[in-house]
Amino acid sequence: MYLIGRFSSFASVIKFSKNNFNMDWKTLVRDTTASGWEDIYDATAMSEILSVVQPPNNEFLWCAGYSYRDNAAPSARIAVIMKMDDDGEIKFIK
Amino acid sequence: MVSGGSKDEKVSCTLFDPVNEYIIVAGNSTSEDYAPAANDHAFAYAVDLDGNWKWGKFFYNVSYAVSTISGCQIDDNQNLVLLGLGDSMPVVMELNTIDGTAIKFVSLEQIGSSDTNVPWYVTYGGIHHDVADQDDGLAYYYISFIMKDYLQVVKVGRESQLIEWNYQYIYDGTET
Repeated sequence: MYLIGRFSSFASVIKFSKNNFNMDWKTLVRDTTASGWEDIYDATAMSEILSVVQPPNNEFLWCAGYSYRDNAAPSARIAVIMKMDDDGEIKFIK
Repeated sequence: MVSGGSKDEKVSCTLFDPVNEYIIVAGNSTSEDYAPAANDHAFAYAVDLDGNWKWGKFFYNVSYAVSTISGCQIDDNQNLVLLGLGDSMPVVMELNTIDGTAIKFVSLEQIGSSDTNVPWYVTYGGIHHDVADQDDGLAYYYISFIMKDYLQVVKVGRESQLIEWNYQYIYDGTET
């Protein structure tokens, strides 16, 4: 099961077990230099995920939301979309 | 078709009901000419694919209105499952998609809460009704909300109304 939205000021996707909430993986869209995350997008790329769809029999999640562009000084929101595989790897954010 | 009143309506959900072929919309209203009073009330309504009104509900109870609907799902029983706030606490409602009649109402209250000591909550869209768990075949609600600054994820038995587990999720800024 996925928990999707904005967590700790970052757009986030968390995959967890329904039985015990054990976390399979977690991806936050944030500065990759902070802790060695593999994704190549910093926190300005996407600030919150508002809706998501996973086509049937498809490994990719399509997440729609917005970016503040400047996370430290939120102002205008710009619509963005993110493609992610079901291992939590971001394919692109546009 | 126009639906709303003289003040604000906020839509949180737009769903397609494939069985009845309805579009279902839900959210929050503060219009006294749309709901009974000019404070927060939840609403849900359905129209057919030609835009004809099929049913509409506002949720009002003199002191304890369901103030907003923030999450929606059509479950595998084809019922409409809604997450909102009622009496300032998270509530889950199940409605029949045909006419909007209520099937189930579950309110989550922290143990130890009282009339003068209710933690603050915020709900977003975090609701899922699993009608038949793959292990035990029972129905469960999975609900997520904010309580006192922290993200909560709760698994609740639909029939037992028992909390199977409740995790408070805190990000420490270092975890990978």
